[in-house]
Amino acid sequence: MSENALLVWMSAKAAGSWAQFRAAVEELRVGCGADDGADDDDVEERSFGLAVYQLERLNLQRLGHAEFFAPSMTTDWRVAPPTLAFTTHAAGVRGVLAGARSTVLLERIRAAGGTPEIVAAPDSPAVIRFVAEDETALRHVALRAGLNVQADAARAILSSLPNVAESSVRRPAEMPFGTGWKIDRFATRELRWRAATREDALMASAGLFRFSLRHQRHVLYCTAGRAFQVPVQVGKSLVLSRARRRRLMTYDSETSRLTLPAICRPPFLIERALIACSGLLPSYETRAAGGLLHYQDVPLPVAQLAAELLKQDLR
Amino acid sequence: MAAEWLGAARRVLLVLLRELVDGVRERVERKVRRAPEPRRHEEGEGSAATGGTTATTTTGPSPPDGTGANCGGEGATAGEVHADDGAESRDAGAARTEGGPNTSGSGEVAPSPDAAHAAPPVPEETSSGELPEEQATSATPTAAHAPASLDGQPEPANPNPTNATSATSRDDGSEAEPPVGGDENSASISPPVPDTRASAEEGPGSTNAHAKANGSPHASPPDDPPPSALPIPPPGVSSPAIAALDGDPLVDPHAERRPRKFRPAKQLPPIPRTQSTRSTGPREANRRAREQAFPIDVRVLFERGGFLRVSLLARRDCHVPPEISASGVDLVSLNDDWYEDVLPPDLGTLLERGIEWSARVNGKVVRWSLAGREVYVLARHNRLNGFINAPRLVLQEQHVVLCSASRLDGVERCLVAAGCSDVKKIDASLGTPAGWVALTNIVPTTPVPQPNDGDILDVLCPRADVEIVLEGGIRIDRSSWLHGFPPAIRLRGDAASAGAVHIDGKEATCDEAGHFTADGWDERGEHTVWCHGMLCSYQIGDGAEEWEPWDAYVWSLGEGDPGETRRPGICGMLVRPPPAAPPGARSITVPATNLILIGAVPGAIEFCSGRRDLRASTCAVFPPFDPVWALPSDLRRCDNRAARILLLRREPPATDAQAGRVVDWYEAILAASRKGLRIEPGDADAWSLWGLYKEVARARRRRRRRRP
Repeated sequence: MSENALLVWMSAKAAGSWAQFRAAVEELRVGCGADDGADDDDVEERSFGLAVYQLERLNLQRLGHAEFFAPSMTTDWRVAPPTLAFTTHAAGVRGVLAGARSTVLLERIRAAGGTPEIVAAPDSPAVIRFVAEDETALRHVALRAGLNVQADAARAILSSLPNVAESSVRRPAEMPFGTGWKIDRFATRELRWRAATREDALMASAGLFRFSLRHQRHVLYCTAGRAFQVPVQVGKSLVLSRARRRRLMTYDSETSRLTLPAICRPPFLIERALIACSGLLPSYETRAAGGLLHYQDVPLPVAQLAAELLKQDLR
Repeated sequence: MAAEWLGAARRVLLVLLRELVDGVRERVERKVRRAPEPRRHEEGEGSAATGGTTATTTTGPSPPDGTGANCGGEGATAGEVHADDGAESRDAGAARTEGGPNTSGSGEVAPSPDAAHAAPPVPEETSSGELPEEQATSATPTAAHAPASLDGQPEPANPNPTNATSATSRDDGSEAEPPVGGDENSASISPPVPDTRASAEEGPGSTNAHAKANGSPHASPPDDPPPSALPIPPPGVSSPAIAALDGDPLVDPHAERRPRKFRPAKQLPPIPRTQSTRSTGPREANRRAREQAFPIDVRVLFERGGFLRVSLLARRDCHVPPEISASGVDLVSLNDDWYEDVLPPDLGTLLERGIEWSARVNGKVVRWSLAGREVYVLARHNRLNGFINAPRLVLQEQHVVLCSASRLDGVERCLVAAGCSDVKKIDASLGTPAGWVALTNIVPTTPVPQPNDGDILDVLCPRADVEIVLEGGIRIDRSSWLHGFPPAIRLRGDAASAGAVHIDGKEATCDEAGHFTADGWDERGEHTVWCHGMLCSYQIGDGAEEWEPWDAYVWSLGEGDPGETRRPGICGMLVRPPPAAPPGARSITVPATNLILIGAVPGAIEFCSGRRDLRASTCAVFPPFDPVWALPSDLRRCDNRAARILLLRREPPATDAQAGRVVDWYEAILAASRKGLRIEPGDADAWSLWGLYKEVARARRRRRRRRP
């Protein structure tokens, strides 16, 4: 219930500051460990040390409920408009409700004839989704309830994103200098961070380096003596592609499940498209050599398009 | 002649000397005028040995000979001045003891003056028991305690980005991205600075000089020399006292302070305040503000498997940077009022000994302080998860008690006396700091008179008082809750003796969970709750119900905006047309092979372009109309066997209307027809519909050819 309350609060406020969001997470007891009775198996994210409010923020972004620190915003977060995102599956069309949520809105949906399926999910607000044979019925409900409609949401989002090798996704940056910086390099073979030096970064032909000092952290893509600021997940995909490690994504046609190593989690906008197919966050599977992320109900064309953007080959 | 010269020289010398003396005296008097009003003799004398507040670390080096009397007097007068401060804090402490609403943030509470006179003087800063959050959890002042961060006011660009960067990297790859931050140190600082400078300025004899100069009726301590005996240093010799008077602090204000010990606040009636015993001027408030430190709270969080985590939460306000390093401890903002949890390795020792952190910000010292003690009482907090340290046990409320192993027996006896049964103990094997024991499942049911002996176990004596509490629900403003998610109204403390509760003038009923309700209590509007002489108000209102889309990300994977105008924008699950798209454009996806879109109105045609960087089977396009057909992109060269005419919507052609590029429209339809391409889906209705479009296309072409 806490995550639902958080989304309702965010919808009521519409936008706000990071401090307000964190205060709400605290006040609404979101993500309380022993209090909410969540399953002990669903602990992998909390056990890895991320603060609760960061987890909540990331999940809300992935699910398309709100945007945080987007370049165009004047506030730190802003809730997305309520949208019914369609995805066509073999069994029909599924519509996932994303964005703002209020009791008034849910009453409008019911009054419009919508009978959604409500799925409780850990660490996220309840998933509200519709299933129909074709889009027409869902469009009708959305129109009467005053919802935005996004047809073929997954492919539309993916088609609107640059690939990870695009030069526009990275910005020239200065490499941090001075003592005290802890430097790590993302090892493409082992898929983990290893200690490195500034000289390694300067000499790297294509490497992803992380510079940490107290509460500062910079992730830089270093190539031929130049450094570029890049989102960490984008950087990982880029160096994996450059290192020709391109067979990390697997697709199961029978279950329509897309799997990739957890450390190679896609950039959140690509992930949002994958999540739009089911409305559910990926499930995490613990493995000795690092966990796996499973995205459910992903049609093959969507998986292929996501692989294209990540410069990966789909197995 | 020589005698005349000598006389003149003597006169000049005397004038110079007199000017020097006047200058020194003037400076002394100026400093004295800035000093607080002198106290009554008995107060100062009684607490002279106290040493006053924390600002009394300013006993400087002994002045040179000639000022020995003031040296002795210095201690006395300094003590007197600081005893005034002690009296101040004692008064304030008495007020806090009574639970008055005017507690300040530092918790520097001292015993009442009566106690001070009756008993040996106690050290400075006796307790931080009456913490402001005790008032914050009370419903009585509706606005005073509510967090500013939930007041609906968007705050300036929050320079709080690096909480994400401090996240631990984990193998699921979800390192939180550092959001774009602002200037980290843009906030100005209101420093709680120890007023060593003021103390230094109030040097030997200063108070008396002021008193004498102003004809104050307050008698000076007998040990103080009269102002006329103020030593006049010879020219060229600077006295440390005068150097102090010049404002140079004799002690580095940034020097590490020793942690203080906690003393429970005593339950004594407040003493009436007179003008002479309390200065309410802004200078006094500023001086007190400078001396106060931010409190450090203790938090207990229960984790899975029965483990618990004990951490420290340092307070902050808007004048302190969101990220700061204090005494080697990195503090990162949690919200407007607290920094994130800190888990020092030697937490057990720190809890008992106390903590003093300091940092210098913009040249001023900021302090954080936790009084050490052997017993901590923690209770639920309405703004923080887990259990937060509280002044004492409260009846009928759930608590956790942290105590050192050496006090466990006494603690358990006190809990039994307070009516706590079925108390559970958690030791270091489950997360409690070494040498400490956590006791949980504590719900006191019996008020216990406080012995007032200053022992730490006094905090385990719950009082027989009550307060109105609003909790739960979804709060959207300081005292406003969202309609449909009202607060739960209940009483904290000795609810049985509280009497009736009235909501909006109507007597409320109490359910099994202890929540009070009355007719209309959760309807939109203003509401008041009254009980036992206490009044509390709250509002129920609506939140936003309109959410406009915007271009959150344009051609971006989450980083900065590249400034593209020809690319679509993403907002949540919505894909919005590019800014450069024509009005009315809407998003659809089509196969990358069929990028010629045909609408129902003749002339509604859009030639879309695909992405060359992707081997994608589909493409997001943004026509300014609702397309009916999607034709192959290259009609001339497409393979007849593979290419298809795709039907997107079943809508008949508009025969009367016309828009845009009519020639392109009918030429494309007729070219596709001439190629003999198949239609998908290939049902009879689709073919029939295509036939209609062909007829309209032919008619348009004939009409055009007939034109002269």
